[in-house]
Amino acid sequence: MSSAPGSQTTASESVELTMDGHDILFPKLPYDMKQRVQGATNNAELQEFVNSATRMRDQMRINGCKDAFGDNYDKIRALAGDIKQHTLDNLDYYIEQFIDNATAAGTNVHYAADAEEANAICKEICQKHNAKLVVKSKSMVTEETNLVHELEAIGVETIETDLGEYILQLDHDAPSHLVTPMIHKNRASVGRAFARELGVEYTDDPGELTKIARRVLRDKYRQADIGMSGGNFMIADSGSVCICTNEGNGRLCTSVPPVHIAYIGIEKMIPSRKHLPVFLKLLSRSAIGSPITVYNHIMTGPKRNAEPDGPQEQHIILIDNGRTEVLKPETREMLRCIRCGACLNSCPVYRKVGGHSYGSVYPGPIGALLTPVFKGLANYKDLPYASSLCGACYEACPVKINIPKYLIQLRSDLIGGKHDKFTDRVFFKLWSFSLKKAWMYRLAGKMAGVFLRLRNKGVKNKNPYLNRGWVEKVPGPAAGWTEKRDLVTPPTKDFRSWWDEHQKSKGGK
Amino acid sequence: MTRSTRESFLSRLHKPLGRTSTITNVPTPPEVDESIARLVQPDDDLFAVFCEKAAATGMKVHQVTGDSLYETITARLREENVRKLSVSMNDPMATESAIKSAGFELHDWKAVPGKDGLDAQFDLDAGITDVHNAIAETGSLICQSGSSHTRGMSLIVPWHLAIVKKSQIMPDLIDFWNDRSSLSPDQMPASIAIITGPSKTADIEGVLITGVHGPAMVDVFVVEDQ
Ligand code: SF4
Repeated sequence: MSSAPGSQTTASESVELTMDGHDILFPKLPYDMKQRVQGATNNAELQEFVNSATRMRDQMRINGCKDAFGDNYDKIRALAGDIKQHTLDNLDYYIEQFIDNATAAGTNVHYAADAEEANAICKEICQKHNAKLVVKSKSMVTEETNLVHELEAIGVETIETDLGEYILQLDHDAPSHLVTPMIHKNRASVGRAFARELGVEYTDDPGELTKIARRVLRDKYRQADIGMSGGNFMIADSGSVCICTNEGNGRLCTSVPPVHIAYIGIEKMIPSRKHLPVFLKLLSRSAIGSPITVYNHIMTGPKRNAEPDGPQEQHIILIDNGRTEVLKPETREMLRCIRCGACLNSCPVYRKVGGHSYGSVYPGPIGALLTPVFKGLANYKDLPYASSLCGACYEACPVKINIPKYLIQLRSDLIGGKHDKFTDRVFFKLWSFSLKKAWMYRLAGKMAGVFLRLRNKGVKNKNPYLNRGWVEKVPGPAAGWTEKRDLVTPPTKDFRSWWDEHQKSKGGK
Repeated sequence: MTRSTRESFLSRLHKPLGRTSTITNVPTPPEVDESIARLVQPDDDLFAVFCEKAAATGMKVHQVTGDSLYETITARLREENVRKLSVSMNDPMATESAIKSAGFELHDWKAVPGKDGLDAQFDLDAGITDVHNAIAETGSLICQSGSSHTRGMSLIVPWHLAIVKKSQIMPDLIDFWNDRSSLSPDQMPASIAIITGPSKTADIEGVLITGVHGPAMVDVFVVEDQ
């Protein structure tokens, strides 16, 4: 990564100094999370941005959803979840219906089993039209297939037009959030990237930077041979594709160039137009708390004969790329995801470690589920543990994916249902035994207290409440707790004994 | 590499679904329970709700009558120093002559159809459209493609002015999609845009900026007596 001499390190640069955008999303496998997590947690700036932005958006979601749905918030999430689950249960039917209807509207539907096939189809269309320039709107599945790099490799300049994605592309960086892809970057790094790559004078004013991007990209829309998009929803009963953008880049990419190609994962299906409003009501509220995305563009086929403008050719590439693997009954629910990003914003772990720590296209709680299933659990052993299982993601999810349940399932798959260390097994045996009777539980608590006091490493802190000293290391399965932090030495008197005495002194029983 | 076909692609789906061919019985999807999903009732004051919600999205809302409509529009155009603009609507005559007689340069988008036509729209200062419907629930405008409707006029121009008749306001998004549900795929317009506010982004440090790619300003003229 080249940066101007004397420039400070940006948030993303200090996470991984040697990477370009591609390596961030496609690390060497098996992937070890630790290094990036450390980079992220040591980066004070990144900690601040990601933490404050996610907390703010999480609160906006709660306010927006409670305002609109009130006591029905949970019910509308259940309804949306049921509609998606029903669609997935009958996905073969709805895909066939979609293909027939889209074809009737004049769309060319293509089938891609994997990333390679999807990109091959896309490159062929580009070559057929002798395309030199492609403008594209945000699409996670094109990140999955690494499309931009592949098009550039055959000499087709491909420009991301979502402001955040455009900045990331200029700065050779990669998205770290499903909805706000450059959540990890600050304005100064954007200013430097613009000065370096576009030759404009340095500014870090967000309004000015946006104006510069607007100016550059407006010319690109006019010159582009092909416009590309993803798809937020496919509608089976009309063969339509719906894309949702706040900036308007999605509509421009799908209206101005003479050819439109949409890359869509098969799970984006919904049965009918009547179901669409449920999702339009939930998507933007869950993402950023606003009632609806600024532009919802529902496209059905290429421009009609009587219409003055719009693409003359529309291609929809239906993409599997691992999804039929997830479609098996045990994991099917994961495919309900509408990529709203709410689970990321609500996740205490995402807030700390940032999106790049997940080492794949899909960050956050949903990424921790999907990535191991897409790419092999053995390749992403850390991800099922990248969660506190607090359940905030499940509460936030507009389609009610039970993320914690599946994370626990993945953890149990990882250990084959067993704890592998002998000491761990003994510990858990004893622990479960101690929980059987109240007196055994109390005895075990007292013994643990005695044990921990024996490992006391002395007083480190002037705080009178914490001056009992610290335990730096405990053995067995609890070792993880003390790896990153010390444990306060338990007092000689536990809470129960204190409470009993306290009650007695007050004349109670 | 052998390419996937419709058949081979579908058979990839059949396996995880536990069957060997696509189900033949039409599946019954969950109904959209309106007691949960509907946010505006048909007997609510749609005009008031629409105006309030539209204003909340950052659009400028003008409540006008058929008589004051063109006066209000041309006054706004003058205020923003517009030079050149265009009109795209079902019946553009009255609007066009009001614009011309107020001294603005009127661009005839129909004179250059197709991509070149859109290209020329990049140089306009503003565009005036009617709408196909409006939604009270969200304060949204529905702009469809059609023979009298270029896609650019609510998209490419930096300022979009939309004329909404009170009678076009539907209560809820649910009503709009129920209404469009019986159209066959080839009867659907190629493009339906549900527009709710000026173009926005908060990508740089969460700072809200209006006017990234789409129009930075949207004015809505709601005609009370039509
Ligand atoms: S899992 Fe749920 S909350 Fe997370 S991005 Fe997907 S739909 Fe949104």
